[in-house]
Amino acid sequence: MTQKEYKQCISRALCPEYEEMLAQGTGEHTFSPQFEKKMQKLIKRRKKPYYSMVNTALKRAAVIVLAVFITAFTAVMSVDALRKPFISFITSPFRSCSNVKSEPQSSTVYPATIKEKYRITGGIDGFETVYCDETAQRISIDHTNGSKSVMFEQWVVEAFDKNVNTEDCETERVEINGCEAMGWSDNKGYYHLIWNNGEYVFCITSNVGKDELITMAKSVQKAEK
Amino acid sequence: MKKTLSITVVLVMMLSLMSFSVSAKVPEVNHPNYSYTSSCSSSVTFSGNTATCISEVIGYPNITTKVQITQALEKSLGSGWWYKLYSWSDTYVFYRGILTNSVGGITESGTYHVRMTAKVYSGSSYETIEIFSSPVTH
Repeated sequence: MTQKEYKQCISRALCPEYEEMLAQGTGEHTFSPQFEKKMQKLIKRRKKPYYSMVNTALKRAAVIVLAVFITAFTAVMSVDALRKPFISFITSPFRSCSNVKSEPQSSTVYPATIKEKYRITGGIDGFETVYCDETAQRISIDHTNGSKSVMFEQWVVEAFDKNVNTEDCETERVEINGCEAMGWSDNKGYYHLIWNNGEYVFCITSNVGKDELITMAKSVQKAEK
Repeated sequence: MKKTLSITVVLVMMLSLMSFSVSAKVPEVNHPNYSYTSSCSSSVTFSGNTATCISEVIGYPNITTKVQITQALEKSLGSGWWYKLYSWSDTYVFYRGILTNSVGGITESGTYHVRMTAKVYSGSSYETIEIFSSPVTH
């Protein structure tokens, strides 16, 4: 039997059977109501304009995370006290102070404790003393007239070591009774002067103004006993 | 069901965050240094085996309202490491404060310094200052 004859025999045997099977299956199929409902939902969802943003699980998760982040950020930014640290954190690296300490000459002997007390004697009328503190190595006296304040300090040379506010300012050289002083105006409107007379270090800080403060500094002398 | 659950979870999270922002107490705000501080200093001196530690913070009248000083006497362990021996703290409702403490019986020789940490307030805002005294060999 050739292949062609074999095919013809198979066809004659099976075709009637196949035709019978096809005749049974040509009735129209109806889907269940639940299936139809699901399909309609899918079709409706697909027509939404944002479908492309939420059509996968990963995209849906990303949308949720973004919504939570936006809400959290809005919540934080709405509280003034929480918002400010975001701004301050950026500017703090630009702020600075200065450490000022004396460099005693090895050949000079300075008093180890305060033996003679100095005071501001001029330009202080109308001011009252609001603070006074004395230790063996430092005297601090603060004066005020209500609106203006003057803070005076006398230090032994070896002990003078301070951190001072020099944010965004430049120091200048000022002459006080033949001694060279360091002066600067800080960011609060206060002028500072630091100088030494060969025995002690003096500091004056005040918002009376530079010229008035220099006048007061020049009036610093030993207090009468 | 799944969709309803997801939406509910997201809404609950959003509402809880919003309620946090509404009820949050305005905290004290830490500003950068030297907004309220004019100057500060710290020192340690030895007289025999007694160490005297002095830390001072000076603010601005009518700006600075309170100063809180914490002072620690530390001994050097070498290589930049310090060991805290004693610590003191005090608060001053004024524009300046000075904290002085003495402690005796320090017989161990070595290098000592004072670490001063201060919170300087202007109302509810404050700044934190930290300085170290010059080291002293005992």
